[in-house]
Amino acid sequence: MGGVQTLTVDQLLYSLGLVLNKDPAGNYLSNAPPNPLPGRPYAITQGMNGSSEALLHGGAQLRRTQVLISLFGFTPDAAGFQSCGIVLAHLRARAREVDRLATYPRITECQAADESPVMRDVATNQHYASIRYVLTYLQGAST
Amino acid sequence: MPWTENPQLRAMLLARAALAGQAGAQEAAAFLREHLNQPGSGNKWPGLPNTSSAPGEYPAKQSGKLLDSIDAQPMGQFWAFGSFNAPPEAWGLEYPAPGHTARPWLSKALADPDLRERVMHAMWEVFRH
Repeated sequence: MGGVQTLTVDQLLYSLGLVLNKDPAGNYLSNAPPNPLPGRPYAITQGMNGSSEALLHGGAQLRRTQVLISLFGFTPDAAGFQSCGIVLAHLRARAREVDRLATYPRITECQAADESPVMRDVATNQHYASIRYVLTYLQGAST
Repeated sequence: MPWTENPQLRAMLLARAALAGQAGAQEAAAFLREHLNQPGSGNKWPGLPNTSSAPGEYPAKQSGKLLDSIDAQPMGQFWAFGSFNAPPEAWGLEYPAPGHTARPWLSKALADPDLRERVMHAMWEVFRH
């Protein structure tokens, strides 16, 4: 892969102290909420395969995909509001460190795209926010 | 021979570019309208008129409020398309609330090669004539 150290979106979320869902085998599967719901902040990722592409020499293509990261479970008080905003700022600032995504061949770039402000849900009484990553990957490279 | 600017040509090109922008924005709004006007292929929930969308699809039409808010309008010297006077579900589909799954409709459309193809074609049709 690209460098010596690699970082996935899930590893970035885990390093920020967010709880991720695991399947029964113990592998991280973050496209669903953790079951049971933890009493701590948790994250859900949702991929979306768009494919705007640019043709390179030799027929390789640069394509883009999106990952929506949702942060849930922050306490409904001011501390939860601040914590959610801080985690969101870390995700925005560290997006460029991500260089791996499962089932995608070669991530060349990861950019933080749009994000929502920190919002408070009345029904479940918690603060939550979302941020979207746009990942560029190299498709069809010969090596 | 010195180069002098032709003010009539400049005005003609700017007018044509404004027409092309209008055509592209209206084509994008039409694209969004026809993709938000159909039922999905996911679950059929009681109380909702249509079948809901599966993950990865455009959101299915349920109340029609998001569909009715899709429009293209001039904004200064540009043309904007999207949800005007957006209902709450326009925001909630893009950024999910706890317990819900997102159905990104605007960011999905912006990454959609079909939308790009249609907008480029509409703008080219204006410039061609």
